[in-house]
Order: sequence, then structure tokens, then C-alpha cells
Amino acid sequence: METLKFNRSFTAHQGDVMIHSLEALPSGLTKLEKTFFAKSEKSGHAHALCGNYELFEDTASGSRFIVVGTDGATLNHTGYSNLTPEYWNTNKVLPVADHKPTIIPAGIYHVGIQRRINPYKAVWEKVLD
Amino acid sequence: MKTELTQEEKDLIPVIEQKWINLALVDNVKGINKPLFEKGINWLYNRFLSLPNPQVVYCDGLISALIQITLVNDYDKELEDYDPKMVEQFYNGELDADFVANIKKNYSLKSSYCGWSNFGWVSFYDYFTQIKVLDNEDFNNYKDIIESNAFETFEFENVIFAVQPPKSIIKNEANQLHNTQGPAIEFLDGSKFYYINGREIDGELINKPFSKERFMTETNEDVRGAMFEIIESRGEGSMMTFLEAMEYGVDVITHENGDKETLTLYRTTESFPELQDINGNTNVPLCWLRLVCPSTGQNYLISTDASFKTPKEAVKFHRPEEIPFDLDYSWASRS
Repeated sequence: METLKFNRSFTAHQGDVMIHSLEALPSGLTKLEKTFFAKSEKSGHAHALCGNYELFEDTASGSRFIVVGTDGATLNHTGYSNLTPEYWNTNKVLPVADHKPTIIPAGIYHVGIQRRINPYKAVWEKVLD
Repeated sequence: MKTELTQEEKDLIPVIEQKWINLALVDNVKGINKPLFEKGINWLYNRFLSLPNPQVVYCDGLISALIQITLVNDYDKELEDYDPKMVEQFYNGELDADFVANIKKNYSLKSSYCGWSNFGWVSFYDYFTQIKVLDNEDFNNYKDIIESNAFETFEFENVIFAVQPPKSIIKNEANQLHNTQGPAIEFLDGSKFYYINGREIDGELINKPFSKERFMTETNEDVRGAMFEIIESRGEGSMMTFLEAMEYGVDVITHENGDKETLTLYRTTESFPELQDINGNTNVPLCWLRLVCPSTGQNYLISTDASFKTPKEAVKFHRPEEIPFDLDYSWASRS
């Protein structure tokens, strides 16, 4: 994947989900069916985007991107039961689970998850080798 | 000779793969398919060992099998001398030391061609049998033994001990045996095996609380890594509290939307030789970054790297990997 050109026109942080605006969409992406970005097995909630947008992925790296249209999109933190087939294409604010909804204006964005590190990761990897 | 697979044949690959995975992880609760096992094992004894059908002793777990084998093999006892309570006695250290040494020695008698360890290659040839590339009578008969789901077997001239599959198997997202709350594998006879991230550990680490001093004086890095996982599984940042980490730095960031965010960096006063920071330096402390959720007010304590001198540095690192480090940490929207 080519070097991503971030601009600062819009950035958002909801829970573990981080959204950064881009100048342009990278080439060679695969279009995906709309789905949640992150979910919690414990709480039964998910961070899921609804509205006027398309979802893409760079298959090699797993990086995800969205192109939001003029009608905009909303990132809700909501229960799994709300993620019906009708949810994805309707720009709608749902009742809050834990995190308040994030309104995403038209634009091109990278969508990622906050990085966690395990300080013992290298020990486990060495051990398994 | 077949040089290409049809679409139908390609579609069968994940089906066969899942069949063998399910045998271990779903059908384990059904236990050994005894008619299939006995059909296969009788064929094996007759065809390749030139022996009559063996007596089959089904054992509820690995330890009960080994205890029975040890009683008969090393002490001239009968199978009737086995008492299921001996498994608990084994774990409580109540069995004679020589007896336990013999139990461990007898593990080497396990079969190399029966049991779950053969699932990999057998599933491969099962696939080619299903798509009619292969039709080997010996393989088909041998496959019965494997597909009967005996976890392990110990073969002797006139008797075979067949171990029932575990009643419970717990893994992590990387598909490694892993359980910070109890055994990762548990058999019907009560025998338990403890694993963290695919590495076997002493169950005592999970079943009995350990102190900070125990952690600090532990010289084995695998054990210390397991201790970290066990404590941290109680809640993110639990290790920080356990080790009484000190506050190292505070930054207050004013975001694009006007929100003020307080970030705090913590680190242990002690350094650990097995740890390495992102710059490759070893013997570094354990560190955490505290973030506060603007929606819920909940504190999040995430493990961070020892190389960061300020919370602002650390929080930039914890953005997704694709975000350049020099991009300002500032949000137009936070929730």
C-alpha cells in the first residue's frame, strides 16, 4: 500500500476506534460489505457506522478505509441487536450504549483501532519459536 | 493424473478441515466412538501386529490411564486395584514419589500413530479420499481409529488403554491453549492442564494467589510472563496496581473540539531483564498510560512502552500503526 496522505480536516476517537481524514483513497483496495469496526463480547455492544458511505480494506495489511458521501454517516456505539440489515445504509443516531455517537462528515478516512501492546509479547514469541 | 481441482472439490476443503476441527473441539464431549475405535484397533492388531483383538480399557483421562498402566506395568497389580481417587491424590502430592516417577516415565509409552496428534496428516489424506484421488484400504481402516476420537492410546500386547478426549478445551484468539482463570484442558477423570498463550504452566499460579515479591524474585521469564497475564486478566491495569507502579508524567492536551484530556504515565521502579522496549533496549520497567473515556469517565490503563518519556509521546504511539508519529494528537470529536 502506498504512503497514506493524512490531512487534518477531521479526526474522531470513539472508544477504541480512531478515524483520521485522508487526502485520497489508496489504490488497490477491496470493497467490503458494511460491518462493525470493534465489538465487546462482554457488553454485547459494537462500534458500527451507518449512513452514506462505502467501506474498503487493504487485503495485505488489513487496514480499513471509508468514503463518506454528502449525506454523511454516524458512528454509533450500540447493541448487536440493533445491527439489522436496515441499519447500515440509514444515517441515524441510536440510543447511547456507552460512547456518544460520532457524526462523520463527507470525506475519505482511515479507520483503525487503538493499539495495545503486551510487554511480554516478545517473550511469548521467543518461547513459541 | 489429476492436475486441477474442480470448484466443487475446492469447496470441500474447508468442509473437511472443519470436520476434523469439530471432532476435537465440538465432538470431544461425545467421547470415543467405541464401535469405530474397536473396529479400527482390532484391524491394526490383526493386520500389522499379528495379534488377537486386545482388551480395550477406556480411561477418563490421561492421568487415570497412566496410573492404571503404572499399577499393572510396574507394580504387578490388576486393573481392579485402580481407584479413581488416585487422580486427586496425584495432584495433591499424596502418591509415593517412586510411583509418580513411574507415571511420568510411562508417558513415553504413548502411541505414535494413534490419537489427536495425527489429525493433521490424516485429514489431508481424508480429503483426497473424499475426492476419490485415493482409495487405500489400509488407510481407510486406520482412519477409523483416528476418527473414533481417542485422545491418546497406550498399546500393549493384549491390552490397549484408550484415553477419552478432554471434556473442556479453552483457547485464546490466536487459537493457543490459554486460560487465566483455570485449566485450559480438563479431562473427565479430573486431570487438568494449565496453559497461558500456548505454554504449559504450573496450576499453582492460577489456583493460589502470589505476592509482588514472588513476581519480583521469579527468575524464569516464561513464568513471569504468565503471572503478568494472570494478574492483568483481572482488568486492564491490574498489574500496575499489583506492582505499585509510580506516576511518571502528566500531560493535559487541549483538543481541536476544546476538550481537555489528562494523560498520565506510570512505571514500576524495578526493571525486568526479559523486557525490551521498541528501541531494542532490555532491562526496562513495566509502564502504563492512563486515559479517561470522555463519555463514561472510565479510566483505562493500557500497557505502554518504556521508551516514552511523556504521556503525549505514548498516546501518539497507541494510535493505529498507519498513523504517522508526527501527526498531531488532537481530536475534532471525542466520545
